[in-house]
Amino acid sequence: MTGFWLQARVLARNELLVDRRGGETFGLVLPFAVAALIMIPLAVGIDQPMISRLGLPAFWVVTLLFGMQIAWHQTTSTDRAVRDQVRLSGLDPAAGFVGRAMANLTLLVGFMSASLVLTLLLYSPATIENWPGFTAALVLFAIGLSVISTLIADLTLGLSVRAGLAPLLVAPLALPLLFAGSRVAELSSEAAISRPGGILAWLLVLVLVDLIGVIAGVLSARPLEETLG
Amino acid sequence: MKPDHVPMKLKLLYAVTALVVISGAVLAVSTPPEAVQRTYARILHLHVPSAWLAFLAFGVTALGSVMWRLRRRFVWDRLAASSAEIGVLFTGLAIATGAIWGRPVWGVFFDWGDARMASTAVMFLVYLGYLALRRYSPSPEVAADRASILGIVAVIQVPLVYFSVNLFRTLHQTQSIRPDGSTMDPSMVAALLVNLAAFTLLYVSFLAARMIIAREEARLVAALPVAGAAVISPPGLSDA
Repeated sequence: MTGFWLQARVLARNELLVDRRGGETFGLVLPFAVAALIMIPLAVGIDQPMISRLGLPAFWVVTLLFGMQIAWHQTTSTDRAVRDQVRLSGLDPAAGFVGRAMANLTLLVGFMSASLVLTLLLYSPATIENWPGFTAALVLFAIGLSVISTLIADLTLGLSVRAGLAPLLVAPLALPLLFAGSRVAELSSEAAISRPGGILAWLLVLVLVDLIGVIAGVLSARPLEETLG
Repeated sequence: MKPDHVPMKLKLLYAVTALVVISGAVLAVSTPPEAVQRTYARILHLHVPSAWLAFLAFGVTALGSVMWRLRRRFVWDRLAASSAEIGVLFTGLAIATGAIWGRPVWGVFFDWGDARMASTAVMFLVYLGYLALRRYSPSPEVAADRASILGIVAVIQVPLVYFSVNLFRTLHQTQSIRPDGSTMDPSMVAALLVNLAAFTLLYVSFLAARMIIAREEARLVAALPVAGAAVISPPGLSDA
């Protein structure tokens, strides 16, 4: 088992190095997400209460739509020659999946933190009272989105229409995350703090989606590697 | 078999299906109106069987996907793909009929807060993605390989959609026919059961027809020139 986690960690570190060199997540995806967060209030107009109400929902939607892009950045599995080399090195495909998902999770957490700070500054949403619940939802959302995006990124690797097809597959699979995450945010706010029981149910939904994603990704890693040839 | 030739067994299946579908339609129209919803309730004879078929079709897609992974015979892939197409069709029909019924009874076409409606819409989108993944894969084998993984993963939604009304107390009612009895009038239950049988036969008929079409498509693709006009794929290659 040590070998598995060591392989996953090494691959995750390499994935992060590749992303840092390319600067895709923080140099390309994040600026576009920032632009989207700025454009929404401009489209709504001078209606501060409305902008405040839109704040957290806009954050979740922007995180989902732009966050999924992180998973199909230039990775060690994109290039055929590198992929063959990694396979010949004897890397466990499941460890490869976990490593890529861990790298995507790290990038996503950074991306979400920056987006959240910007949302709080730009929209002044209702005060979050239950920070532990909200933080747990953020982390579980990030785990779920990174796992689903990694699985679909692997599934669509090498397809000519990957850029268009992958979001079409990730978005519906990640909708339960969006649904549960936004409900937790709503229930964590000042107005809804009197109903703490609801948060737990939605956190369980997030945990369930994360578990299904991890199991599906790990179990399908080897068949997918055979498919990619 | 010639592409335009329909076997006798299939002709018989189509005839029986037509007969049962007509019987179901007659029974649906002739049952007494529901006490509160009046005649609007009749749409359940279309809505419930459509939803049942969606579950059945996606279950068969998962089965075909598992069998493809185990046996690697294209007949299983065709079964999975054909069943997914029919499942998407009937999921769309279930959503549409639910919306038509929801407007007069609930006051809205679609309630995003309702667990059953939202989860059904998600399931619909996931299987549209499944069909898109197949369509844009470079070869039948790659399509079968990749779609089989999604077909197995996506079936997790079926029990989630079915039990969503029990897990979350929202607008959609729970099951009307349960092992401990029914909340419906016996005449309505009888009509509903006939329609369930009719739609199941319709599914089998559609599936059989679609699989024949898929097989002929595969034969045509296999016969296409693959390297100029000089090289032709060996016959039956796609059926390996």
